[in-house]
Amino acid sequence: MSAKRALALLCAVLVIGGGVVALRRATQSTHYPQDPDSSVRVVVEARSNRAEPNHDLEELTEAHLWYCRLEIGSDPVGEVQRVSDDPPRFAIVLRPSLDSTDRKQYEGCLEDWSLDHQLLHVVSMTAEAGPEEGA
Amino acid sequence: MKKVSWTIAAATMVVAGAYTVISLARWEWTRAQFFGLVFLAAELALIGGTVLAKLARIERKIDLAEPKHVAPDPSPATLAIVREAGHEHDRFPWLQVSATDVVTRTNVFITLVVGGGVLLSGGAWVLDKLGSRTVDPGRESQLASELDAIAYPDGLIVDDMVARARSRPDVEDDRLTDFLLPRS
Repeated sequence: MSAKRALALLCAVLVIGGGVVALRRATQSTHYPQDPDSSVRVVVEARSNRAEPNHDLEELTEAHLWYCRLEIGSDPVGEVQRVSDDPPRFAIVLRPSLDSTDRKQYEGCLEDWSLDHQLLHVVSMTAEAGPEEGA
Repeated sequence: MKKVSWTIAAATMVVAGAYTVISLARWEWTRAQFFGLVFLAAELALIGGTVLAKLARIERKIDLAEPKHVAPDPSPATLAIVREAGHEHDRFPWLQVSATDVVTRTNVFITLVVGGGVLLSGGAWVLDKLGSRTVDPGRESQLASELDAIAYPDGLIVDDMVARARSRPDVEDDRLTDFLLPRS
């Protein structure tokens, strides 16, 4: 094997190895204890396409927000609120607040193609009270 | 075309692979599965294409290495049978009916042919009417000048040429004769 070829092979191994490590870090759950009184307000923009006529956008969004809540350790406080009509935006408050991994998980679940005919885009995740990360 | 196909497959594979990783990093599992499937499909297509191309190359090499096979001349009898079959083959035997059949049996096919003929004639009549409406004097004069440009020069046309130009030489067609004969 020539030196050039060996170098190219080494570079490829390093790039692939680095990518795998980076992906592992990005997808690994690392949770921190949260202040039980803290909360986070999640605002999403909703769209639906060819949804069942019996289910309106509000219903679909509510189901999506509640379904994805199963991915994290926090519970919703109160009902899902409509923030604006155009664009259609909805908000939910979760308690306790979310650590960085939970945020990624919740946002990923919301923006994923989890629910047919429904697409959500997370506009903001704002901590409302108490420290977010276990400091 | 081949290069375009290869490029599209390779680009699909790269983009789908990248989006699989991005979706995984964003915790979007359904998207990651979808892009993963697209990645696999593109990869399989590329692998299949590569293997088939390689096989074709090997096949060509084997063909070139083999001694040339020269087909022997066919026997006159076989040749005669083949030629006979080509000329004498009756392609529409189902159209032949005996006189008694015509009297005793109602043939649905004839009804269909007649009905289809009526429909086609109606369609052709409509098309003819529509076509004649689209011809205006300007287009007529343009066509006439184009025909003038390709008309045979005087003195070069002989009578058998005129006859050959007709589909049925026994039928006189004044318009065709006027067009083909030298203008006086």
